[in-house]
Amino acid sequence: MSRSTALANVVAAEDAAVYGYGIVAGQLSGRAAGRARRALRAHEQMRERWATALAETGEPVPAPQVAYALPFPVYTARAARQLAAVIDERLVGWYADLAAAGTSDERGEAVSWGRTCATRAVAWGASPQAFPGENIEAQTNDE
Amino acid sequence: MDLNRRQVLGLGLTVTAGGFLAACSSPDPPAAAPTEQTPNLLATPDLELIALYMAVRSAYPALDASLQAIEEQHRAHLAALGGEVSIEDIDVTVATTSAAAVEQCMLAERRAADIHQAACLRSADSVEVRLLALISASEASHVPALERLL
Repeated sequence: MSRSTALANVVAAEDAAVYGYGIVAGQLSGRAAGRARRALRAHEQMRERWATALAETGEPVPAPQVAYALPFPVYTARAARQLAAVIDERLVGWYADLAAAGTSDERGEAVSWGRTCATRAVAWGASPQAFPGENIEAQTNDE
Repeated sequence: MDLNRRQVLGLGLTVTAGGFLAACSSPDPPAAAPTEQTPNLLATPDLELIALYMAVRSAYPALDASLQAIEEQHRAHLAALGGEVSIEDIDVTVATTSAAAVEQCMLAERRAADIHQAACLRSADSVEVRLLALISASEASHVPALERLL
């Protein structure tokens, strides 16, 4: 995978994460809502960081979609927590790709951010995985 | 999971006694031929964790079910890294309360995640980089899972 492809995938995934966390935050209250809003801001920052890196390569930056299909209906706080966990766990795989294809500085950031995403997914209630983000589709379909 | 990408990492090593603590205290060991030193550094943290979880599960049966799944994930890491489970020479002293033992596991997970992250940053092999990034993330994510047991 090329560096620009890895960056584009991360940008697209972070766009989806920002959208998803907007829904998550809307379904939660109190401290959980605060956690969701902080995660939303972090994903916004990461989206901008990687979009800037991608733009500097001269490759087109994926535009955010108006809406994203959710893996399951999110009408409850429980479903919102599950969605947050799916969002963050899915990102771990994209960041592993970027770690492999990016510059040395990008690798360090990608590995750190992948750890953060994996840890946050479990903190939202996901079960830890041996290889986070690698079989997320199967896990989602099992729910 | 893309097993093929990981299977190429099968390095055919058998890891035995601990270098885990040494690796923790010296995350940047002196340079040596990567093909000779890297395998032990990569696989030993998981081997040490397997030994630790086996000891804790034995000492505190109430934790057995919760810790078994995590131990299995370290076995998966070890297999992906080409290591084999051989823990006879590893000495493990388990903490004297179950809560302290869980905290002992959390500390070991953080150290393993740090070791694998450092190895990831040093690696020149993109397939290995990707695998180590995932393993480091997995180990870091074990910490909040263990916190639920406190």
